[in-house]
Amino acid sequence: MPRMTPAARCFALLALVFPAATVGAVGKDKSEFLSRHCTDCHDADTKKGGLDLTALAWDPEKRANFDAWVKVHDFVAKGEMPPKKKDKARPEAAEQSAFLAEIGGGLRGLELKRQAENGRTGLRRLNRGEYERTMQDLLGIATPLASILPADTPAHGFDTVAEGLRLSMLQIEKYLEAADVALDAAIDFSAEPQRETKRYLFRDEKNVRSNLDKPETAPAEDKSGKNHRHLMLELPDAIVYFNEGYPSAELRQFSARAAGTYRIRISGWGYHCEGQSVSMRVYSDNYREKQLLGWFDMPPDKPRVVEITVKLPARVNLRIEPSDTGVDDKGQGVYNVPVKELKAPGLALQWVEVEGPILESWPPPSMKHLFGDTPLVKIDEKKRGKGGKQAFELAPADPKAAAAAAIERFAARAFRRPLEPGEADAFVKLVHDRLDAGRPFLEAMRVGFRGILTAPQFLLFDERPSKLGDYALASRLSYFLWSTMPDDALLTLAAQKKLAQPEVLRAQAERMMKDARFKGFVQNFTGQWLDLRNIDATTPDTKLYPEFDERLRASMVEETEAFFSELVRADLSATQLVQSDFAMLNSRLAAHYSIPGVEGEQIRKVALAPDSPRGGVLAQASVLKVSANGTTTSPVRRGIWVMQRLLGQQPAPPPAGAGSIEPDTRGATTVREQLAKHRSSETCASCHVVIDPPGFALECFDVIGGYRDRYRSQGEGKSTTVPNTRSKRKYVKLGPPVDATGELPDGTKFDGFQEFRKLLLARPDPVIDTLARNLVIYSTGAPVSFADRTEVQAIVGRAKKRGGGVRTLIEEVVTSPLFQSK
Amino acid sequence: MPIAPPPLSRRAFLRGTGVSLALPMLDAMLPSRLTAASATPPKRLVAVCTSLGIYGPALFPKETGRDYTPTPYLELLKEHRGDVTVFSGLSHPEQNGADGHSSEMTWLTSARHPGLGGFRNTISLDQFVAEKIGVETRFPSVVLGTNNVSQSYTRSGVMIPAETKPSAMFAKLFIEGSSWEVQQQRERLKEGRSIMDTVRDEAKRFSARVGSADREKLDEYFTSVREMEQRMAKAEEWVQKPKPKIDANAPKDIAEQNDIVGRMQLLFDLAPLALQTDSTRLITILVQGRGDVPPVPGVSIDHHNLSHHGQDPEKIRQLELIERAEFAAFAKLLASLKQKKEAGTPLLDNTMVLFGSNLGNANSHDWTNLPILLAGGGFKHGQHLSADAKRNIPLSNLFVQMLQKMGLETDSFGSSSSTTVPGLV
Repeated sequence: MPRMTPAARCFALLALVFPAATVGAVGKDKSEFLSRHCTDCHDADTKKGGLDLTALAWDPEKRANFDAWVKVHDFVAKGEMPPKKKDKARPEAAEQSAFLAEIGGGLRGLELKRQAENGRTGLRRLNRGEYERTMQDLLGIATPLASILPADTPAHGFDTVAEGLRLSMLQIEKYLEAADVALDAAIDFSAEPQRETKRYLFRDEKNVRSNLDKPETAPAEDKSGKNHRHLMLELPDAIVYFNEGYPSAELRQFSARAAGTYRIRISGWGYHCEGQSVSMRVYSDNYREKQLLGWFDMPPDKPRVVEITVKLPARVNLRIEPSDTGVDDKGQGVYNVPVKELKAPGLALQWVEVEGPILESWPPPSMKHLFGDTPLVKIDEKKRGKGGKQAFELAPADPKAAAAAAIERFAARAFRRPLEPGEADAFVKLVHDRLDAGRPFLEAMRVGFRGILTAPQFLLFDERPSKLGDYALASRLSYFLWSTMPDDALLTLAAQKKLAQPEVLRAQAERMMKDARFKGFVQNFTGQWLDLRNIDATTPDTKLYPEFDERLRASMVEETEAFFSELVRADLSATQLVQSDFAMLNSRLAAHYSIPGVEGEQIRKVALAPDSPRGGVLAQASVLKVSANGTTTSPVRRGIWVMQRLLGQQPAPPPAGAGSIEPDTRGATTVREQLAKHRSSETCASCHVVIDPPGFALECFDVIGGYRDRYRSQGEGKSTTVPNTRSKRKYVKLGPPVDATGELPDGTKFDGFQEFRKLLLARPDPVIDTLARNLVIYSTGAPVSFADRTEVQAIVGRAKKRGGGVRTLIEEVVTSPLFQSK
Repeated sequence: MPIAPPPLSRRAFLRGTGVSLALPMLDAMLPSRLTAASATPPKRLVAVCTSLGIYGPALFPKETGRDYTPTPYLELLKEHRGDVTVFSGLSHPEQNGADGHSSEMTWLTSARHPGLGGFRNTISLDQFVAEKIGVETRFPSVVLGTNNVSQSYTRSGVMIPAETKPSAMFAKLFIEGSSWEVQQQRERLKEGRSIMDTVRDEAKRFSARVGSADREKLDEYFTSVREMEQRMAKAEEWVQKPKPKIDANAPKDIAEQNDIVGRMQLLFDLAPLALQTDSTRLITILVQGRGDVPPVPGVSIDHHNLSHHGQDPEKIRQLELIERAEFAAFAKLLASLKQKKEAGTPLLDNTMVLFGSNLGNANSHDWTNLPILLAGGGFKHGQHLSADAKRNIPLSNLFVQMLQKMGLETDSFGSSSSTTVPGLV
């Protein structure tokens, strides 16, 4: 049996003592309570809220019935039911707690019995993100694989939950396909690519030279466009670019020789930019796909050398584009201006230096992962085949023995535990059969690898009911904090049977949270809990939000991830999710938030003024963007976001035919006016009085998280410039004023976002509870059920006692019985 | 013993080469049983969804019945008026889900509350049919899309990724490999089957130690592996049969992701070829609207944004430009299905084409009163059939009627109720 709290154990006993008495008919005490306090409204005639309690039997073995009784329990426990009415007496405290204990005990007992049989967590497989990272670590490759597999369906908010991780023929077919792609990348017999360091000048680019050789202005009669001279200026030691998009600074002289790690250094500065820096975006580009490698603030007038180390696929070029340039002093976009007369900010590029590919070893480590000790020998240069691409070959003295050794070694790593006796035999047989049929060694080996990579031991988590074994625990920990397979340190501790010791477990969690792989957790957890994965679901309207750009989009998600990482690193309280006295910013975000004094592209911790509306996730652009639709904000949608994500409440869905608000941006009406109509109906009001207030408070933030006191309009309205951007001359039209006041369901009024935030902060428990709950769901792959609630509360209690920090909370999850049991 | 790797990437051989097979398509080349005098042509189903809604005022006629005045969009289909039924007041019940676009997952399945809580999708209309008749064709179903997202879901609720490249689909359908390639293909299928054999035995190790609840999940694994093995065995048979020869050039893919109308048109061009050669009888096409500007003349705002028009007349004007282009492509598809004949009758008569969206009003993410059109397949068309805008008829009721027309003996699908869609026969 899993470890249980004393209370839980007591309930489990109750269920064992009175099993029959609680199943079947509604117990006598229960039914008396119900008839005294509930069935006036919730009977067959009135059926208020669609609920008829006289028809609700006690049959919690059935899922729907179980859930219905949990709802009854919770409504009564929270005091929401029976509703406060003048003419009706409230249930006495003793009566109410007896009622709750009876229902709660019955439900809990039943669930604990189920958990004892099968564990909380169902048999689950790797999700596609975990699959990709695991394959990459197992094979030592960087090839993306997730997109080959069918998308997973998140359940209870996360794609780590067993319920959503289904299997189908299609899944198997795609595993075979993905294994092939991965093996293609891992198997490499070519000669070691030479590492090279080269410096490139833009003036040596062919199209730069030919462009500079064209006359300053094309003859008026020439309409062919052939003689059109793109804007660029040649300085003695640099080329200056002005256009934000095409024609940007392409570096075709460089093309990555092989896939691998490259160190790129770029020297440049902001040209004619009046003391402000100019942003430079750096891309890899193969003319099919353009990928942003990074962006940098280049200082005015004096060169800065930036350096990035990136993984590049083979045969890509580099491309550099400036931002906030190409507009002259009058705010006109610059096009056919003779470049000598041009007075506009630009990006001066001096040189680019690329070093690479930087390799760990050659042949690549992937060959060792696959073929173990099978000798890999260099082919004599004279004997190499046509083209001479193949420089190495496998040379096993005894192919069958070599195959067996390599397959066994690979299988143990793939299965994340030592093999059981004879466990690899079937895979070895796959290879031997092919060898017997006369197939070449490599081809035969591939069949064995594909078998292992489609086997249940690789794809499924090997967890058995009650307390997890050492290796299962190593995997659970590793997939929780790293989203990938356990490393040697974890497996060694598992082998020594030390991992489950609380101090060891705690130390490992600490170590793992400091490791670079922890980023996997931060991205996957915040990506789903805070919905950041939907950051690109909508594109902000370019007329309404001309200041939105790629740097802001990329920075938004980085901000929230960095913020969460900082809460973990510094072990800050979970209440800082609501309000923090710092923000994680770079120059682009700082401009967007109108916070002065932040220069440069790196995200860093910035102290906030006491009266700043920023600080905490609610005031982060990413959250404000995913909770809007790109054109308009809806208090309903944002209210639901706050309830679900931050407070852990699930608002009831609207009744059928309730309709929704028709967004209107013509500038004549506000969403609040529209909602007022909606809320005037009693059926709507009862839910919206709870849902809307957080959304009203957030109305002071626009769809990309900018602060506003006026809406922007597409129709009527006075034209004005956008204040919170460094780009010049972005115009928008002003709409009606924003009203961010509201009233909580209990009648407390707030005059805007900051007061609302104070009210939230005054009752921080739901926020910590919700974070704990989500951590438990994410890490164990199972929802927090009725019976788990006490244990989650215990986790929160222990964390609070130790200061309530987010890192502490994660540690308490890891060392809890919930985490360590199936 | 030095061992060299194979000379060619093992996965390279099936990639399409873009060759044109300039041979006329003759009745004689149809599957032999179709041309036999007694044989009736098979029934087919094509389902097309544009995921960002269809602007209602430009689609739904005011009048119901046969004598409706065509709206701007229906004007584009006027040549096919007698072959199309327009429905209003249909929708899947309880579609409020994880977000405003969740109903995209359930357009062909009708599962309730997509994406919420413990949501699990159910089998889609096309896969439901494929389970019954899929074995009769080289491809049990063909799943296409402008992105790799589709609306086809397996019985266990897994989405089948869409093929986005018409050239790749064309190659799979019609381009024959060399004899070496065919040999390699067979070898690989054999390998695949022995892998399936092996991993199934491995799963038995697992099954010895899991509880009853987990055994169900493990059964899913067993079933998947067994089905895969059967599919590979079937594929081995198909590999040895020559592919149909047609008089058409391999299409050239459109690389631009934002050109959804162009991409949709290419998929529409492919569908009649696949049906006519009886390579498949089931096709789904998801035209997924995007957050960028499609290259439709006169459009300067991104599509998703236009769908949230906020009553801005300019946005509505541009939205209509995109949707007109989509309807024009749909009209071309119908024309092509009509023009192709089998055993003397137009292909359209045996092909149901469902066209519509999972959003009734995209501006407010409303999933009721869906725009739904049905063409061909042997129904009596030419009407606007309308149900109550407040109390919609389940869209699955229409699906049941379609299934019955397909020849399946079933009286329910998904959230269908017991009635039919009044007026549709």
